[in-house]
Amino acid sequence: MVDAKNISELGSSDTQYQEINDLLDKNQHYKEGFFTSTHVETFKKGLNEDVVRAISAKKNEPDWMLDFRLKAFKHWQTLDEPHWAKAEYTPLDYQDYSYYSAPTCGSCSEDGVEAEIDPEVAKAFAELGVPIAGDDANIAVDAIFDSISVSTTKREDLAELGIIFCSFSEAVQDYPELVQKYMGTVVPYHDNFFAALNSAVASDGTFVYIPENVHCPIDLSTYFRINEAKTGQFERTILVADKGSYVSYLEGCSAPVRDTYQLHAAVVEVIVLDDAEVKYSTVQNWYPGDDDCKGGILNFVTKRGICEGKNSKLSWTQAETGSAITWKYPSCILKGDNSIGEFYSVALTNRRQQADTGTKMIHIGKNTRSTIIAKGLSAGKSDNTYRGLVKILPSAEGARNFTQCDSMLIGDQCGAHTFPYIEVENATAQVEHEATTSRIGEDQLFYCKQRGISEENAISMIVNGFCKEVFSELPLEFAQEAEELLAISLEGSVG
Amino acid sequence: MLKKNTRKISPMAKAAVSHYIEASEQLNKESAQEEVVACRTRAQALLLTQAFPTLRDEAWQYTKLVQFVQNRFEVAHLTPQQHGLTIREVQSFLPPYQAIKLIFVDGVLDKALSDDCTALPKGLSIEFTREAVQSSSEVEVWLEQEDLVNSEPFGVLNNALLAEGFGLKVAENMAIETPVFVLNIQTKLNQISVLSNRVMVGKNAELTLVEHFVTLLNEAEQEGVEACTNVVTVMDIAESARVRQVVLQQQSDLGYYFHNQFIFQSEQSDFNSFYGGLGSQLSRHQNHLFMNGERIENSQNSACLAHQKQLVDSRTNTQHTQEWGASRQLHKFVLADSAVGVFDGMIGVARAAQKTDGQMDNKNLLLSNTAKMNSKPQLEIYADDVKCSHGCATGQINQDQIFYLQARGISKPKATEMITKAFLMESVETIDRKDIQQWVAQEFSEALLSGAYFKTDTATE
Amino acid sequence: MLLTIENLQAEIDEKQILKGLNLDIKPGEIHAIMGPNGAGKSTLASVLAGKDAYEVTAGSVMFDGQDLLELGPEERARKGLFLAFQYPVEIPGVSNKLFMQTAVNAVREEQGLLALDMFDFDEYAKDKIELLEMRPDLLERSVNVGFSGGEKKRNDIFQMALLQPKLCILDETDSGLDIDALRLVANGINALRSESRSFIVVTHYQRLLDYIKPDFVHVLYDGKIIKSGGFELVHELEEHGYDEIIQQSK
Repeated sequence: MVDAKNISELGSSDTQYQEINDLLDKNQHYKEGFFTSTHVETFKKGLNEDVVRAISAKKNEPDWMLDFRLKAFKHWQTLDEPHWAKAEYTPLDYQDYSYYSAPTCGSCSEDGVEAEIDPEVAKAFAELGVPIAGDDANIAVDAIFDSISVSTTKREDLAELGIIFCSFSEAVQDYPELVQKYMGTVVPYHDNFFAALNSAVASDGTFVYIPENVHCPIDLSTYFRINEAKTGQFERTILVADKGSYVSYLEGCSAPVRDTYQLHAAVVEVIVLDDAEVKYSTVQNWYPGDDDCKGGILNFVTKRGICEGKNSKLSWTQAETGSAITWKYPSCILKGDNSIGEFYSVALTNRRQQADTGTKMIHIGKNTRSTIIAKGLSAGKSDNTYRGLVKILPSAEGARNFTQCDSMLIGDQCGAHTFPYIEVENATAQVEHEATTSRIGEDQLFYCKQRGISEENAISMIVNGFCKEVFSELPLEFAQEAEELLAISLEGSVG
Repeated sequence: MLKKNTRKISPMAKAAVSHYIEASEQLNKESAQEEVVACRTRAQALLLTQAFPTLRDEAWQYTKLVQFVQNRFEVAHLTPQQHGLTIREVQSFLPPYQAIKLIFVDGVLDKALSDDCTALPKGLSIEFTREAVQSSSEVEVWLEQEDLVNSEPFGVLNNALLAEGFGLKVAENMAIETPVFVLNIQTKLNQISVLSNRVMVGKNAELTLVEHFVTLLNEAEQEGVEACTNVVTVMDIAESARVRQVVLQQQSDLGYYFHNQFIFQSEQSDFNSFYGGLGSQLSRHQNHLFMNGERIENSQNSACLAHQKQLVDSRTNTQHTQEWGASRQLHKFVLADSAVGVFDGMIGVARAAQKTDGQMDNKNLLLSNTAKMNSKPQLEIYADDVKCSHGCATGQINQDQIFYLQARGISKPKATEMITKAFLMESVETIDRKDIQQWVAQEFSEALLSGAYFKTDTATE
Repeated sequence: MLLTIENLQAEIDEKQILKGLNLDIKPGEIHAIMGPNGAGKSTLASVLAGKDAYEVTAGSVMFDGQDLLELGPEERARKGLFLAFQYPVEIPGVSNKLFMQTAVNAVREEQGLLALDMFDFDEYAKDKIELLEMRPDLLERSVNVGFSGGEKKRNDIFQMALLQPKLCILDETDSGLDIDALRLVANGINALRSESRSFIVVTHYQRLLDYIKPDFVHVLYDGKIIKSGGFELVHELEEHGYDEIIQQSK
């Protein structure tokens, strides 16, 4: 048994300034690529049972949480890293990452609850445009910096409605029954390699509970920031919408420019009870790496929700522009009768990015309905894959699915792929799948130019038009951000 | 990259593997050229390490081989017996149109029943695998694609048991009007018909090939036998050549059917194929199509009709490698009772294959609540100036259509039958020779009527 | 002179289409270009608008005092050259509003005018929508997506009304239109006529010309103008067909 104090090296490092600046020069496109220099406590690289115990000890966790971690870790050790996705990467050295990193300063209390935020960290979020001071009336924010949640705004206002919105670590302390009731029910620790890893070393994340018949009046959001080099981020998010409730939840993410792959292996579990509705939106802008995608984030995420109750609805909307590799399939288990699952996705890849993303819609209940709209944009030398499963079980009388996958290729060095799996086991189900591949038409460009519109504007207009159906599902501010991201990410891909 | 665990092979599969290796060894004792023996021996080695795929193999996740592996099918070629079939008994399997007929019984060529192959139309030559294996210098063309054939598990088994089949050759600029009709009849329990076929169509030549797979029914019980058919067809279609192929698989519901086709098209050639899958408890028909030239056209279509516990698997892998290729596909499945349908289609477009136009449609009708359809229409695209799409729809019969027919005085089962037939015909009608199209349509109609598809107690009620 | 075309020769896929074409257009004039299929009418329209696929092999085109051929298509548009397409293009997901607001502001920027914001633009577009009797939700709909043939053509004329160009080239705008749509399109064109605005109307029927009464009519055949005249030439063509004129010119 190693003591948490011994294993954590207080790397009060005014870290590698020069190196960062050099890298920034190489990557001017990625505007979130700055690095925050602050006092951090970072575990030594490496992963073993002691590290798992140390993380748990660091967070002062109860035994049941440590047990969950240890069980997951034991199982993880028996698994092989998956390589079935259409994305090539050399097997990772899991001993070469640090599994805990947190900003620390004199005024921060060790357990992190309602401590004053490190000014440097606050500055970082301000620069990212994340309102962690709680001054934006329409949104509540949980800001996560490397392994821990540094600030959660509007908690009290929300608490009056009975809404729990806090960091995952706090939830473990303050709402152990709720966490125990739901954690691992949608994504069990043995679900897959990265889910097992996450379960073992989960850093922090967000916990949301919306009580019965409460319509959450503001958007809840989490902003993830990976700052330290060679640190993995393993957040765990649980969102429970009790009967008749509604919530719109947003998450955004970014990371500084690095020259080695950084690992992000999150798990998100969403539980939607009778007549409740959850809208889950993501704008993913993790650092994609340099022109060869070296140093970008490896984004291996397991997101899954269950529409447990009748008439419940879960809607995933994602705009994926970042990461060197994205491996992500936000899914819906449609168990309740008449429940609805939706997946709206825009995935843009440029340079040598590789995205393998899609969804699973598992229809169990009667008259369950699902819609999948996936738009893939490939540019540069990237590969963009839609992979999805629509499964209609025999019990799903009258189930409906409509899937549309459209790919657009920009340039002739990229790839666009569609791998759908459609399994229908009920004759009353109606399942439709359509996929197309196209590029920006010469005639479309000429038409725009003939009206005086520049080529650059025309392309951005056509691309955004292509993604319109998905962006219209995003909350307004997010939609704008997504459009801008698209434009930035496409820079240099046409010409 | 992929860390491959050493394959765990079940005792049952091991036993099956050694059975087939032994059969292969026995074939090797017969007179055969050394290249053939070497090819079989290499296949034996592969069979030993890979055995048969399981549900864990991505390409076989919907196609269970558990039953197949429990059998020890015998190679009829090794124990030729008098089957005593007369042309009269075979007659019902022959088509109503004129054709050059080649007849195999349990995978063994029957020269007496077949047409005289010395009086063929000018430009067409036929050689049999059996002869090539023993003595012909042409044998190397059978072995050309050995590695590719070995990329499929049942290709490996086919290579291990290489002994029978046919070779067709059409000379340059020759259009063979009369279709070549190949029949394989399963007659005996527990036999495996192994056919290794080679088709070569010269520049600007034309060929129509019809293959029919059937089972001789026991007269008293009207039941077929549990037997297996394993076919590999390697086809070269030279520049500007045109090939029309129709495969009709109507083995008894106890049978097994595995057919791997490897088709190579050269520039400006045209390949039009149709697969009708009606029989067997487990059937899998697979086209591997390589479009190695510019301005190639092809259309691959299928219609599969299954009931009871049948599994019908139809798949295509279409690789566009050069500019201006156009591929069309329509695959239709009708599934009743507890039947399972599997469609897997891949359109690949290489970087150089600009101006590709690829389209793949899969439409499925479930007639019962216990039927299942698994569909995987895939695109893998590396060129930007292309038009590729796929569509897939699965559902039940449109009740409005049924009602409309009922309102015109047609009974419900009849209405269901009419609509189902029309649904299948869309694919059958892609056969662009009227006489063959009519023959196939007739076979489907009869199967629909005799197969008890439209009992009133089905889910269509 | 607004437009001066001298000895214009152009080809596509190494096939010569225009074989030495000359044309002068003064401000305010309406010129009709007629001719049988394959004469090069649409090629002329595309070459003037700057379509990439065509290569100009000889000749010159001066537009409002500058060398038109030196400019990219968007620069030509900003200088006041407008092409109504024979087949207006669909752009899924892009609203007419975004499309035309971007276009109008690009032209205004060129003219040194301030950009129109959303509200100004709506106001500006309003009466033009009415003029062409377009559906009120026109601005919200995607560019030409789900439009009937007639709606697409009207949408192009609507865009022309918004951009207020100096030279309007109508490429077979009348083809495929029923009589009501034709009347709307003609009304739109007539409403835009002015002292300073010129038109080139490419067509092979007289029916649109009956509505707009061009000042000059040219017959294009085999890449050249073989006959020019006034409006009466339209009726001559109507009576005798192209053959006679083609024979005379040989």
